[in-house]
Amino acid sequence: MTKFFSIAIKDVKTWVRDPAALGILLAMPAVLILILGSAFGGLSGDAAGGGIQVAIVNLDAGSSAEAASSASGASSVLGDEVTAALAENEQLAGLLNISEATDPEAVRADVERGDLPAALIIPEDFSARVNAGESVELEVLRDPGAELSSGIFETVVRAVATEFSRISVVARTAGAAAAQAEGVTPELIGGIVNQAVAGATVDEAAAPIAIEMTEFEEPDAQGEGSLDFFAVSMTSMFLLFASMFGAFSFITEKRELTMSRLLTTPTPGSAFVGGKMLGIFILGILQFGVLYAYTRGVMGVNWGDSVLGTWMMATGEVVAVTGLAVLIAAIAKTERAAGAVGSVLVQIMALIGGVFFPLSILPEWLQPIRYLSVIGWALDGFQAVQYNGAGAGDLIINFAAMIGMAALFFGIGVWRLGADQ
Amino acid sequence: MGDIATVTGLVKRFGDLAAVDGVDFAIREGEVFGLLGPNGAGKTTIISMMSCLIPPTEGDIFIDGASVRKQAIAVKSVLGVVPQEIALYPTLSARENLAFWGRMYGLGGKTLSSAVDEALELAGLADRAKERLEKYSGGMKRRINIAAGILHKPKVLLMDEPTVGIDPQSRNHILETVKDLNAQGMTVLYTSHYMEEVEFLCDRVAIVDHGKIIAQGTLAELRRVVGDADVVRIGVDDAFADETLDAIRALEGVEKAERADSTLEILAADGGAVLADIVSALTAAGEKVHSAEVVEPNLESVFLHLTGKSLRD
Repeated sequence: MTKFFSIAIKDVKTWVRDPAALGILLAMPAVLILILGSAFGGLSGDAAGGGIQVAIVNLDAGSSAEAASSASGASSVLGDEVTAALAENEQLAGLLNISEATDPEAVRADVERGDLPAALIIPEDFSARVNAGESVELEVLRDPGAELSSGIFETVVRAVATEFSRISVVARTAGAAAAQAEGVTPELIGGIVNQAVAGATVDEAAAPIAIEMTEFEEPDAQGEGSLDFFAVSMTSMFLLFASMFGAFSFITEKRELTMSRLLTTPTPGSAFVGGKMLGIFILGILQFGVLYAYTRGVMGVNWGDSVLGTWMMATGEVVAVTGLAVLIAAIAKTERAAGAVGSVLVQIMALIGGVFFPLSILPEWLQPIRYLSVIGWALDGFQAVQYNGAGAGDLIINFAAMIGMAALFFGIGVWRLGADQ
Repeated sequence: MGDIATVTGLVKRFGDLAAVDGVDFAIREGEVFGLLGPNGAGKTTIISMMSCLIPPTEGDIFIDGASVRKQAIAVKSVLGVVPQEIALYPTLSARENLAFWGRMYGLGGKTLSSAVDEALELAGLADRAKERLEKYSGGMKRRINIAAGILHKPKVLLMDEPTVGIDPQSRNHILETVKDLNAQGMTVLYTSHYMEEVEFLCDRVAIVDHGKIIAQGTLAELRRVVGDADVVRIGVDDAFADETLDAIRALEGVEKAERADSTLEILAADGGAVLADIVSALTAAGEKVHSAEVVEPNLESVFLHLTGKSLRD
C-alpha cells in the first residue's frame, strides 16, 4: 500500500513541478473561461459593480376610473407609478440599473438570449384592471443562467406589487365610502387613505396584482449565463487533459527506463499501474479543486447549490480520466503520439459533449450523442446542479455512466497492452 | 563461501536471434564477479534475466536459493540493481529520488531516512541532496543511480556498465564505492567493456561474446590462456589503410592484429622483439606512428587471443 501511494505522490510532485502541465491544466482553462465569459457578455451583474441590468416595458394605457386614482393621489397610469417605484427608489439605485423599453418582444428576446438577466412587462390594461378591482399580472422575465441577479429583481418587483395591491384595496374602499358621504373633501379622503394605507395589510396570495414568472428553459451561452456556462464546460474539458499527462507519465517511465528499474524491485506490477492511476486521480481532483475555487470564489460563477452533486460529477469524470490515460498510453508509443491521440480524443468528446455550444441547437434526435462522451455525462450533471437544482441523488446515473466508461477505457487499454506484450 | 547465484543453461531468444546462447556461471558469496565483453555481447540481457525483467527462453537462474522463473519477488528482495541508464526522476531532488526507491524496496520510517543519509554520504552528495537531479552533472547522476540500488543493503548487487560516459573523477569514485561495498560483504556482479575496471574490481571474470561465455576464471587463470604473449599497442591516424593491417599480420611473430579507431592492438609472442618490425612496416606503408607500447598479458590480450578482435570493436 505504501508503494502504491508513493508512486502516486511521486507522480503528483513531478506534475506540479512541470510548468507545461500547470499551464495546460490550470492556466489555460482559467484564461479561457475569463476570455470566453467576458467576450460573450462579461462578468455577472453582481460582480460587475454597476448594478443589475434590467428593463421595464410599461405598456399601461391608463384608466378612466378617475375617482380611485385621484383618491389615492396618484397618476391615472399605474404603470408609471410602478416604474417610478422601481427606477426612482434611492435604496434600489445601487442594486438595479433600470432601462425603460417599449418593445416587449425585443426585451423578451434579450432575456432569452441572456443579454439581460431580467425584465418586467407591465400590461396594457394594468391600470384599468386594478382600478376595476380585477386581478392583473405583471410579467417578470428571468434568465435562468443569471439566477442570482434575476432572483433579486423578482423579489423587488414582488415587494412593489404587494405595496400597490395594498394601495389599490384601500383606495377602492375609501373611494366607495366617500361616494356615499356628504361634505367630504378630496383632501380629507386623501388623508384617510394615507392613514389606511399605512396600517393596511394584504394577503399576497389574494392580492389583485400577481406576478407571472417567465423563466426560459435552456441555459445559453450569453450574458451572465455565459460565464457560468463556459466555466463549467471548460473545466469539464480541461479535466480530460489530465489523461494526456497521465499517458505521458506511463510512456516517459517506459522510455527513461524508470519503469524497468521499478520492476526490478519487489513491487508488483499492479501497484505500479494502480499507483500511477491514483496519481492521475489526485492530479484531476486537485485541478478541479483549483478551477472550482477560482471560478466560484474569484469570478463569482454559479455552480449551483449542491456542492456534493458538483463534486460527485467531478469525481466521476476524474475516474474516467484515469481509465482514459491507460487507454492512451496503450495506443501511443511516444509522448508526441500520446499528445496527438489525447488531443483528438479530448476535442471530439468536448464537441459532442456540448462544451462549445448548447446541444439544444442540434436536432432532437442527435442530442443524445452527448452520452457517448465523458464530458457529455459530466456536463449534463454539472448543469443539472447549476440550473435545475439537482442534488447528488439525481446524478447517480451520470456518475455510474462515467465509472462504466472508466472501466471500459481501462479494459481496452490493458487488453491492448497485453496484445503488445 | 558457497555460491549465492547460479546460472544454468541460460538462453534468451528474440525471434531467430539468440541474444544469450547457453550461458552457465556461478557467483560466490562475497566476491565481485565480472562479465566482460564488447557492446552487444549479451551482458545486459543476462542482467535483465537475473533481475526478473525478462524471462529466460531456456535455463534458470537461482539467487539466494530462489528461482527467477518461480520466485521472482523473493529474488527481487535480495537484489539491488544499478542499470546502465540513469533511471531516476530528474525533477525530483536526490533525496526525494532515493527516498522513493527506498520505499520501492520496502524501507520506511527512520530506517529509510538513515538509509538515504548513508547513501548520500556514499555518493559524496550529501551537501547537494535537496537539488533537483536535472541540475546535476552526468557523473553526479551516475553516483545517485548507484546509491538508489544499494539503499536496502542487498545481498547481491547487479551493476550494468555503471561508468558509461562519465568523467574520470566520477569513475574513480564509483570504482572505489564498489570496492567499499564489497568489503562490507556485498556480492557484486559487475558488467563492463572496460578491461581496466574489471581487472581492478573483479575476483573472477567471465568473458562474453555473441551471447556465449568464451572463458571464465580468476584473472591469473585467464591470463594463462594467452601464455607468454604480449600486446603491442600502436597509435596511428584514423585514416589507417586496412591493407597495412594485413601486412602487419604477415610479420613473423605476430599472432593477431586488430585496429580499434586509432589504435592497433597486436598480439605477439615477444612484443619487444617484433616492435621494430611493426614500426618499419608501418613507416614503409606511409602510416604515421604516434605512440608505441608493449604491455603484459591482460584481459584485452585474452579477448584478442580468443576472438581475434578488440574489446572496443
